Formats: sequence, C-alpha cells, structure tokens
Amino acid sequence: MILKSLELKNFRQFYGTQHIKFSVDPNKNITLIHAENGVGKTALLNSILWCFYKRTTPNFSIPTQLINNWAKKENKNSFYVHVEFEENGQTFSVQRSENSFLIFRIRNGNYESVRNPFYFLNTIIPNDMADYFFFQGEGMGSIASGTRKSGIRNAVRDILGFTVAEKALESIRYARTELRKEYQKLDKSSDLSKMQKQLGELESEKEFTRKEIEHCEKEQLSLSERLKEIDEQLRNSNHDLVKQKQLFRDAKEREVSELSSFVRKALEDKTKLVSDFAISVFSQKIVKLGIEFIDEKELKGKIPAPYNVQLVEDILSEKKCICGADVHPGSTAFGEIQKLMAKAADSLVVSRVTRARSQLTAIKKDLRRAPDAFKNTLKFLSDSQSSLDREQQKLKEISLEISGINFEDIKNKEELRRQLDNQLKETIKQQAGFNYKFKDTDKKIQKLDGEVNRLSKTVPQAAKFQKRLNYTKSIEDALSETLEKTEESIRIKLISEINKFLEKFVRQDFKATISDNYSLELKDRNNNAVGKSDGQTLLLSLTFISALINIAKLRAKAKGNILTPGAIAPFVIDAPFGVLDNTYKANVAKEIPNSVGQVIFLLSSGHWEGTVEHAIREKVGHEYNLVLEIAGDQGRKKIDAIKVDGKTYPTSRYTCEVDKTLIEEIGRYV
Amino acid sequence: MTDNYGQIKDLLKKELKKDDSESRENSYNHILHEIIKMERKCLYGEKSTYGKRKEILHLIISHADEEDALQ
Repeated sequence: MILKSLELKNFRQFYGTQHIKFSVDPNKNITLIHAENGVGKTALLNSILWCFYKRTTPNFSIPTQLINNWAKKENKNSFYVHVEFEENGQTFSVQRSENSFLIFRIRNGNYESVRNPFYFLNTIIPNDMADYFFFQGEGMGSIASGTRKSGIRNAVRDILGFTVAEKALESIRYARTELRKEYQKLDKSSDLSKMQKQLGELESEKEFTRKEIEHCEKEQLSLSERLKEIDEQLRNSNHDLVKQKQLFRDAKEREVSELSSFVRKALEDKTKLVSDFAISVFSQKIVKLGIEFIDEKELKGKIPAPYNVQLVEDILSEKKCICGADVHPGSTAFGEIQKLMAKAADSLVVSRVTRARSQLTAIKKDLRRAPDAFKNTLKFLSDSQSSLDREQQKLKEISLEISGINFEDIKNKEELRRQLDNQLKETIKQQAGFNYKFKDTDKKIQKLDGEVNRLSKTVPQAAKFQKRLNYTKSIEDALSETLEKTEESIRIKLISEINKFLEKFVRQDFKATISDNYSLELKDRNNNAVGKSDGQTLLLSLTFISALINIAKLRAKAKGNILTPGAIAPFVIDAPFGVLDNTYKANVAKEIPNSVGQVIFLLSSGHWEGTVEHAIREKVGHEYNLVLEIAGDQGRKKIDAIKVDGKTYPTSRYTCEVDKTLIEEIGRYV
Repeated sequence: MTDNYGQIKDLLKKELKKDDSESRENSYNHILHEIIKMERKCLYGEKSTYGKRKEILHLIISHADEEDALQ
C-alpha cells in the first residue's frame, strides 16, 4: 500500500475540507508534516486509523467526539475522512463518515464500489498489524523498557496473523468436545463412554487452567506496569528525599534480582549434586568392600588366578606337569588339574578385574570430591539466601521510610505500591500452582487417552469416533507446531534485523536480545544485561518497529495457507524521536526511510530542530505545516514559528474567522 | 560396534521423527487452510460463530472419515 492523499472534512481540529498529498516518489519517500503540540499531529494519524478501521490510538483524547467543534456550533453535522491509496498498480479510495464506510476502485476516473470493504482492507493491512504502521511514538519507549513483554510478543504474533490461527485452534478444540458429546449420546452406559466423559472433563479443566495461567500472566504484566509507573512518579518527585529513596530502591531491586538469580542457580546446583554424587555416596560401603575384596584376593593370587588357561590346557594335552610328573587321564591329579580350568585366568578375566577395580576407584575418588562440592554449594546457597533476605529486608525498610515522609500523596502512593507488590507476589504464587495443575492434568489426559484408544479398537462404533477424535488432535498439534515454529523463526529474524541497525548506530558495543519470555534487552560484549538510558530505550523501540515493518514487507508474498502474509505499508509515525539525543535522532531519521517504502513523519519543532533536517532533507518529497488559527485576539501572546530550510513559517495565527488547524503546503520537491 | 549401532539408531529415529512432523504439517495443510478461511469469514462478519463451528465440525468429520477409508 502506498498512501496517495488524505482528505478531511470537519474532523477534530480540521474545520472545512482540507487535503494532504503524500509523496509517492521512491527516492524522496518522506512526507514531512510539522506541527507543534496540541495542533493536530495525533489527530492526523488517527484520522487515517479511524478511516481504515474505525478506531483510534489509546492516547487520543475523547475519541467519541470526532466532529469539529466549530462546525458543530454552526450545525454542520457531517464529517468524514477519505484516504486514497495505491495497491498493485490500482488506485482505491477509502471513505468513512459517521455512518458509512465505502471503498472504491478508481479506473479512468470512474469509481467502482468494492464489495465487503472491511474484508478487502484487511487483506491489504490486517487490523492487527495496523498499529505498527500507523504508529504513536509517545510512550513507545515502554516496548523496550521491559514493562511491555507482551508488547513484543503480541507484535510478533500480530505481524504473523496469529489471531485467526488461535481462533482456529479454539474451534478445533470445540469440535472435539462436540464429537465426545455425540459419542456419549449414542453409548450412555459403557466404560468407554464414561472414560470419554472423564476425558472431556479433564480437557475442560486443562483449558480452564490454561486460561487461568494466561490471566495470571496478564495480571502480572499489568501489576508490574502499575508498579513501574509509581516508581517513575517517585523518581521524578519534587521532593529530593523521595527521589533519593526511590533511586536507592532501584539499586536495591537490581541487587535483589541478581541475588535471586544466584539463589536459583545454587538450588539447581544442589539438585545436580544429587545426580552427580548419589551413586558414590550411597555405594560408599560396597565400594570399600569391593576394593578390599579384589586387593585381598589379588594378594592371595586368587583374582586373577596365578595360572592361565593356556598353561592348564598344555599340561592336560601333554599329560605332564611342569614339575615333570606324569598326569594320566582318569587319575586324581588329572581331575584336580581339570578343575583348575574353571578358575584359570584368561585375558577376559584379567580385563574384567582391571575394569572393576578402575570403576570402583573412580567412584571412591568421586566420593572424596563430594564433601567439598556439597560444602561449597550449600555455602553459596546459604550466603546468597542470607544476602537476599538482608536486601529484601532493606527494601521493606525503604518502603517504610518513604511512607514515613510527611507528604500525604507520597504516603498514598507508597501504600498503593505495597498493595500492588503483594498482589504481584500472590499472582506469581498462584501461577506456579496453575502450572503444576496444567502439567498434572495433561499427564492424566495422556494416560486416559491411551486406555481409551486401546479399548476403542475392540468396539467398531467406538473405533470410528476415536479415529475422528484422534484426527482433531492431530490437526490441533499440526497447527500448534506451525505457530510455534514460525513464531520462533520470526523472533530470530527480528533480533538479527535489530542488531544490524544497532551495529550501525549505537556507540557502545551492545547487542539486543529477545529472551524466551519476550523481553527485549541490551547486552554488553560479555553478555551481561545493560541498564538502558531513556534514549537507548526509545532507540531500541524504534529499531524494533522498523525491523517489524521490514519483516512484514519480506513476508508480503508469503505463500503459507495458515498465517496471514505480511504487508507492504507506509510508516506513519507521530512524535518519533522523543528523548533521543541529536546523533541518535539523525541516525534513526536517516535509516527509517531506507528500510521502509514510504514514511510520513509528524514532527514538532522539538523533534525537528537540530540534526534531523540535515539528515533527511534530500529524501523529503512533500512538506506541510499545520497552523493553529485562533478566532480570538492575540493579546500578549507571541506568534509561534518554525524554521524550515532557512525560511520561517508561522505555527499560529490570531483574529481568524474560526478556530481551526490549517494544513499548509510549504514544499514539494518531486 | 555397539556404540556405532546406538548412534545409527538415534539418527534414524531423529530422521523418522522429522519426516513425520513435516509430512504431518503437509497432510493437514489443506484442512487447516479451510478452517482458517472460515475463521477469517467469521472475523470479518461474513459468517456467524455458530455457523462457523458447525461447518468446521463437519469438515473435520468428513476429512477424518476420508482418511480412515484410505487406510
């Protein structure tokens, strides 16, 4: 999709009918829209999102009031947004007003209505993916700050179209339940029917537990986000003491997190000690006896015997002993020598004795290592645990100290923080219980399923139903496997794209990683996690979004039947650069148009001034300025202005006819 | 000898498992595609949830019986 134009009528700040023509030139693929805060950048982004999907971004205030206030005052009750775009060489116009939604294919100036416009649009840019193409930059930092793990995971899943596939999984599970019910209707009394009923109940229990686990995960995420918000507020408090205590708590929390990982590691090591030393510890006595036995017998020349098989055979065949005496077959001496064969040493016996001794010696050696290994591990565990307890106690004290500060709002915040923290711990405990229950139920299902399969083979009617049930299980497994594999491959691709970008632009030798639980982290060359500055967090988020769009572009021609193909789409981004410093700003601004087909930057002077203009000027195709027109007098207010390409443009005007934002074109370079 | 035999057996097992997983994905691709198509129709309002579930159930039954007959 390439956006061609936008037409707005009485939409939010935009009174009357106004237009923007986007640059479609691949070499100058940036359309730049300047606007100060509150003038209409976010409204412009939302006009496109609303036109396509009838929804707005979460930060868009009063989303139910879309009509322009001045128009409403004049009893002009109609408002609309039209967007024209190009797809596969054809031009389409999407037209949404309050009560209608239409899409037209434009051919030789004629407008042909597209059947089922919602479906059509979703085949070009699925609704789930849209948030990454029409992007609200403010608050974007949370993607990489670690507070929105689900954000990363959802992004990967959205870009692949998981919503539909997961609905399909639900439908398949539903079909299995229905099949079971049908079988029970036919055969009410047999054991098999009862077992099927039991299986159905276990599967419902498993599904219920799965949902509970998901709920716990969401709950934990939301609680963590709320805790982070409070921490942020305390960190930025006007009271120095509060700020200081919060920063101290941040440091302590990092220590607690590190110590917790030490305790976990020590517990794992402790468990491993059991498997490493169980044999040597528990066979201590038998090993001792074994070695003593071999030593004693060896000393007495019994193991191995001091004569070998060949010697005995030679005496018997020669019928002459080594002392020279004759040994006749049938004689007592011959019989005695013959008996020696059973104990005579041969190479096999010698090797067996050697092996037994070396194995017993190895176990004995292990045994010598065991006390130190146990002592060191247990000491490490106990030291880490006491340090952890001590630091956790300090965290409690810090919390009490903050509550003790004599400001009502601080006290309240800290109290709320404590409640949330307790809730979080409770949810983590609950989830552990559900995880156990899930595994346990799954084991029961597998066992019962095996029995049902075995029994069904003997009853023809049951066998048929069982085959159908097994079939649903097979397609469910096949779909789950595909989703898992694709998610993993996209995760790997994403991280490689992000690192390509970081290699170019981050000053330090950092690499990004997406952990198994979808947390986006920066690591140094020794693979240690690096605390991210606000700028680095934002940079990581922006890089992530660019990489995601690039992957969507690469997947645009994907042939799979299960997942949604990707999309080639414009990147419309409102307030992208936030807290980035000048070098990062310039680097990001320059790189985005290289990895994305069409870019629409909505920038305030804060984003624009500095290095951005120089970095992207040659790629800008069309340029607009949003001017705030005010019907009232200027009074003592000054006229705001923005400097673009050496020229100054006003961003506000007074004593105008109506209050509105006016879209003014200030440059066209293609 | 025994070790080599064990290794070869493991390799064979892995290969068989791989083939099994790949062929399973391929053989169910058709029905999964049909189910996904129905899900999309439901998502975009062309089909009710009830209608979709009913059709998916029938689809599964007919595919399962067809596979059974082939065996």
